[in-house]
Amino acid sequence: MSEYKLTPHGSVTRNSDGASIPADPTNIDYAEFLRWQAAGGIPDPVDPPTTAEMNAPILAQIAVLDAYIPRGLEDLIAGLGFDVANLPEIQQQRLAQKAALRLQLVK
Amino acid sequence: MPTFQQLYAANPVTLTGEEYIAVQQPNGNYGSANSAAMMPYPAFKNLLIGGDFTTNPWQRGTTFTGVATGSYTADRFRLDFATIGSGAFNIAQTADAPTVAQSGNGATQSLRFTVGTAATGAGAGTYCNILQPIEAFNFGAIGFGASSANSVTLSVWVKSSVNAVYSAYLQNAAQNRSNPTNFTINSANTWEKKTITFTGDTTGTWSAGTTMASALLGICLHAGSTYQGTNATWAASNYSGTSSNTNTLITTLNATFQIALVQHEAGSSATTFEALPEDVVLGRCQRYFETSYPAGFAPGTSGYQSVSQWTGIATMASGDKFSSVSFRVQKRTTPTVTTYSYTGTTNKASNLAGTDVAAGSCTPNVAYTSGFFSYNASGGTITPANGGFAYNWTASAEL
Repeated sequence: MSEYKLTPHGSVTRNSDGASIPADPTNIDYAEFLRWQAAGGIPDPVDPPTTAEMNAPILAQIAVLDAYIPRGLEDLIAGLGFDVANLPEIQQQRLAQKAALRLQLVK
Repeated sequence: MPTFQQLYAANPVTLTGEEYIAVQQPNGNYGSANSAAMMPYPAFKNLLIGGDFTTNPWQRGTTFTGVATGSYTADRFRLDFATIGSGAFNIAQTADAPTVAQSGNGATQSLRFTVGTAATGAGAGTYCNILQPIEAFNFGAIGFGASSANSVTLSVWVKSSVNAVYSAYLQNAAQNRSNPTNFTINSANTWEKKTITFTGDTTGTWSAGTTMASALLGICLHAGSTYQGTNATWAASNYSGTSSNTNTLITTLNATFQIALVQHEAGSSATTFEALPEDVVLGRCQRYFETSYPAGFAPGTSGYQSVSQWTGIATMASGDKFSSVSFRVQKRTTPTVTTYSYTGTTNKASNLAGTDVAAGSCTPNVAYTSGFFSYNASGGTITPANGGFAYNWTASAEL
């Protein structure tokens, strides 16, 4: 483990005490980090986003569409074998969007 | 012809049976004051903050064992050292101060440095200093770096188990202008007042009008030859002591060195220590460091939940933010923020039942001079108890 760790927000975490150091050169802790880096120090890289973090924006879009066609209604349509072509065009588009978004979700 | 102010001062007027006199206020204007009830008007003449360890808030705690170099202990006071081998130093707020008869001040506390483990292998590169960096907004008015730079005077009460020669020093922030000046502790374990005047430095870079450090004022407990300059002389080097420094304190197990009523002011003479109300001192210190812990309790102390946040929801998803925290005092610069759980673990929240939740569940992500946000970076959902979460925090914008 390095002395510092980069974060996705631009700040730096000091591993010894968990302090969050802002990327502001007038902050003496950040100035010290820059000195350390200039002297050859290599910080730990940013953690890759978790599955939940990657899926969060997609789920947020699906949630918006859920307001028009809830998941329960989708299941009912599928379960009854209802032809979605009989739905209003706007609803057909929303169903297609939800399907496309679900394909983007990281498993 | 005398000015209005001179006339007014020389001829106080009597109103409702009491005497009023002209008083010059810090902004330079004159006002009137009841002479009988008049107290010394705070002029903020002390360039140091928290120089009375009675009103110094000691926000990081009051007892520090094995202090790391570069650490602040009492508010605004830092301990720096290098090349001390296996040495270890402690600092504590101590109920021991010069008497009122001695100092004219009712201070009851001092800062005590103790050698917990004697330094070993002390050599040319060894130093040990108690210091305070001074912000350019506060020091710039002295005019250092210009031909008309003013002198400044340090007054400090000192007491040590080792009567010896020490030094005080004034440096610029870049540490390429220094003036080390000797003082002698004549009697061991006895409070003595030392007064040292530094002539104004007419050259070098001394920041003014910014939030950055301009000067470092320190007490040198040890200076190896690398850090020894000429007594009471400005030099373009990083000097904190002189060849006269006895340099035996930090190599002596259990040796102590105390300071009290530290004042650094413009001019060539030391005036009465300026006593400020505790709340004023606290506010000035909080420009540089603030904590949600109760006064005198070290950050990370187990058993506190200073910031409660009721989420009003069943769970908190990964990535969700806690409500923002607003600082009581605007910080000097964007601060370094650390969050602590109920048990004192960093970057964690606790539920309101006092149980820590997942690692990373309360991680600072955005800080401003006015406050900060933290968020759930645990990668999973966290669940509150008793309706919410809580955590503690510190924010450091030290120099």
